[in-house]
Amino acid sequence: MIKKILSDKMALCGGCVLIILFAAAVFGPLLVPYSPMEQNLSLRLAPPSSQHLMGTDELGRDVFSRIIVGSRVSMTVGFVAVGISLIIGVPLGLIAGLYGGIIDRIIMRIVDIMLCFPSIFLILMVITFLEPNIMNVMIVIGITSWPGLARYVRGETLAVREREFVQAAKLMGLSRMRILFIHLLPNVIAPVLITATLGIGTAVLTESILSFLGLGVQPPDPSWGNILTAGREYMGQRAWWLIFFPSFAILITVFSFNLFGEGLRDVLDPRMKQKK
Amino acid sequence: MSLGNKDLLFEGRGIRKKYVREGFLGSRQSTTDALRGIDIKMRRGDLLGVVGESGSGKSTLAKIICGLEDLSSGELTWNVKPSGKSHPAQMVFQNPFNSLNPKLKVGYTLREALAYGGFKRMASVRKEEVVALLDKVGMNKVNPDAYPHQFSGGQRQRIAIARALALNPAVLVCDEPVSALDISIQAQILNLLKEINKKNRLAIMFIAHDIEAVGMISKDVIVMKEGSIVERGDVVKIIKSPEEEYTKKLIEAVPVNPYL
Amino acid sequence: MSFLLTAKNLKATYIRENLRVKALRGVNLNLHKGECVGVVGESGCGKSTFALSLMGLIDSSEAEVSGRVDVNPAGDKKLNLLELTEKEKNKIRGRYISLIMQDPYNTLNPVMRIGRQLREAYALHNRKKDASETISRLLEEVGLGSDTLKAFPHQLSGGMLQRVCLVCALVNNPAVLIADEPTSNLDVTIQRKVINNLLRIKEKYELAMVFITHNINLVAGFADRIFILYAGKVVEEAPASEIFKDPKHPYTAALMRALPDLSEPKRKIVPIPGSVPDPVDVTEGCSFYPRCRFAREECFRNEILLKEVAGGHYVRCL
Repeated sequence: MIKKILSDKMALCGGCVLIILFAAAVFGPLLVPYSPMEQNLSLRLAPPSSQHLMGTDELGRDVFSRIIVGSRVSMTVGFVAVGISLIIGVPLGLIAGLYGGIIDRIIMRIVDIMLCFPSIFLILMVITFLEPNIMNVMIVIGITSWPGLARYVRGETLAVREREFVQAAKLMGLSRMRILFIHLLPNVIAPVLITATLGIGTAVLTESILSFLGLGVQPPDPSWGNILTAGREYMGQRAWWLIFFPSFAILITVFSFNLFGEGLRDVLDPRMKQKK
Repeated sequence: MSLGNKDLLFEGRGIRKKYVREGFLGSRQSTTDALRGIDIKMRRGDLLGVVGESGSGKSTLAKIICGLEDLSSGELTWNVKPSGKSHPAQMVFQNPFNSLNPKLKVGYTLREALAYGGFKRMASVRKEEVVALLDKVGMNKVNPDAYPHQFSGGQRQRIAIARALALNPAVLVCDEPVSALDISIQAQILNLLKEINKKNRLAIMFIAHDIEAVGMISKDVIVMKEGSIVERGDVVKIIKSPEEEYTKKLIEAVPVNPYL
Repeated sequence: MSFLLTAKNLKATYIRENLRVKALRGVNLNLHKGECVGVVGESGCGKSTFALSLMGLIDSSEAEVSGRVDVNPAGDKKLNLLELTEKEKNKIRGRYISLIMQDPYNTLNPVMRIGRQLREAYALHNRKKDASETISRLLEEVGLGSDTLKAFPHQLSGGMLQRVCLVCALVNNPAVLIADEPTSNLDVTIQRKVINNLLRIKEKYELAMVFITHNINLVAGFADRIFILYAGKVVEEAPASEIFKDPKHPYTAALMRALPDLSEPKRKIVPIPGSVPDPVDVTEGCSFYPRCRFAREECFRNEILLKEVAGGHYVRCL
């Protein structure tokens, strides 16, 4: 399986960049040249130089260090938010698909209603009532993205449910829970993982937007989004590095997750079709 | 209904099954009569063939006997002591590629069946039991740590049969088990089923659209057409002298080698 | 003797994840006008690969195909189908040589009405406006009504769809028809209907046919010559009348013993022990060696050639 992933170019490229990003998120903050909070008021808004690879922001803080530490924020949000949506969405989708009937209808009604709201505005509405911090951002993103996942999982469950080995499991007298987790879940999970991987990119983007708007991670804690906020304020003073580097970081991250996800799809989907 | 005969496993009387399909926007409905009053019973050691074209209701009958579907009206009574939660009728399906969970090792699937059939926990199923089970289907030399896709269609069918046997069923219902296999492999599976029936006096219901395969394995046969039984009796007699036109049509359809 | 189609030393090897899957290992076939050749083999012997290579449908990115498939569309010169460009191949496919495959639901476009698909097929080689006459004539010959044209594939049964595929294959009046297990997915009664239609059309239009199947009893009724395919090679080739009287290859004989016989329903059938070799592991020597009753050490060592043992009867055995 790993070999197959390595052989697909998209997954390989995306995967490589992701590994670098991971390393940056985990080890980066320990290796940065400056503390992300360290202010140097004599060197405010300095353009990139050998001293400050990505320049400094409005309080003289090194942008490079802040970007690196910000990657930890983005990665955490990406994974935790998607993790939350998986924990809620997958079981609900499985249960709706397997049990059918009124349980299915109730769950899907909730899903349908939630999907009617444009997610970003739903998130905005909820987060204005909460204290803006990273934990709430993760929870809100997770809670607003589980419906799409649940619907997808339900569809896949309905398809797998009709396959003969599931009928055989019923004849065996297995409990529904067991059928759900041992027989249905492994056969449904592959496309779900792909969707989840793509979802991480979206979560990172959403967090950036929220932080940019001041509703997410609050300064002085660095987030790519809130570095952009400063960038916007100081656009007049031509501080292009405050806009360029965070945007680039967001771009590369979301792109790599998407690339990896698409590559994963190439590996898993044709293999699923090829199975004879 | 007297079920005093010890060897009687189940008896069905007047079994009917209707499928109702919702029309467009829930207004008009169309009803299909899949089964129109079937009387059927099986005893220990029976080898009953069920033959008919697609749409004759054979698969529906199989599902009803196995409890995978409910009957619309009529009765189906079992004369078998319930063996735990597993159903007294176990099924072997047509499609060998879908009968086994592709994500589970074959050994796991069989251990699961042995555990649920033997009222024990999976952890206490010994390796020898899995090998013994595979031996019953002539596959004792096979590696149980392999996945289904590593086996051929015929081998997968045998594993599916082994899984069904592990549950100690009273009846083995085989729904077109060889239709998806090469004709040269069909022989292997048919011989296996015959042997299992003989050794264990296990009742087998063999469903097919090909009267030749049914003829090879069954003792008695019922011929189904559009949800009803049109002819029934001893299989050799029916093949040699069929009474119904429909049965004759089924016989004539079999490719016969003019040189043999 | 005019050959309509000749396959010479046809080989096809799929490359998958560094494994070489030798599906076809040198098959020869000569097809004459009006002749029907039955190619019999079990799953995994290379039958479908053979059908696809005869049509030049195997892409060079999937497999290495070598050998020749000579066709003679204009009647004047031989062309090797495998060496033509896609454009040139497309001129020949459908017009001179046609293919009908096992699963009609996958062959036809599920979102297009039958009539439109048939007209499209016709328009590939002819002018579209002349389509209706040919199409209705062919539909009538296979026993389908004109209301079939308005239907979508999912509205028709398997047997009806396969007959539609037959019409589709014949709409441009080809000289050769390749049928790859066309009835294996159908009920016996429907199989009988489709085969009867197929044979009737073959007679009427003097089609040459290559009929591929796993059931030797099925082709016995109508094939002129029978080829037995095993592990990518032809192990026996003979006129139908000969091969059953006197099967020379142990595999052919074993195959016949493993098949049921309706006239003697309780006859003991003897399955062939073992299983078909994996096309990755095939060796130079006889591939049937591990399952053969008469196996000798020399069978395994060197490559055995196809030899003529009687008039038109060839065997690959010692």
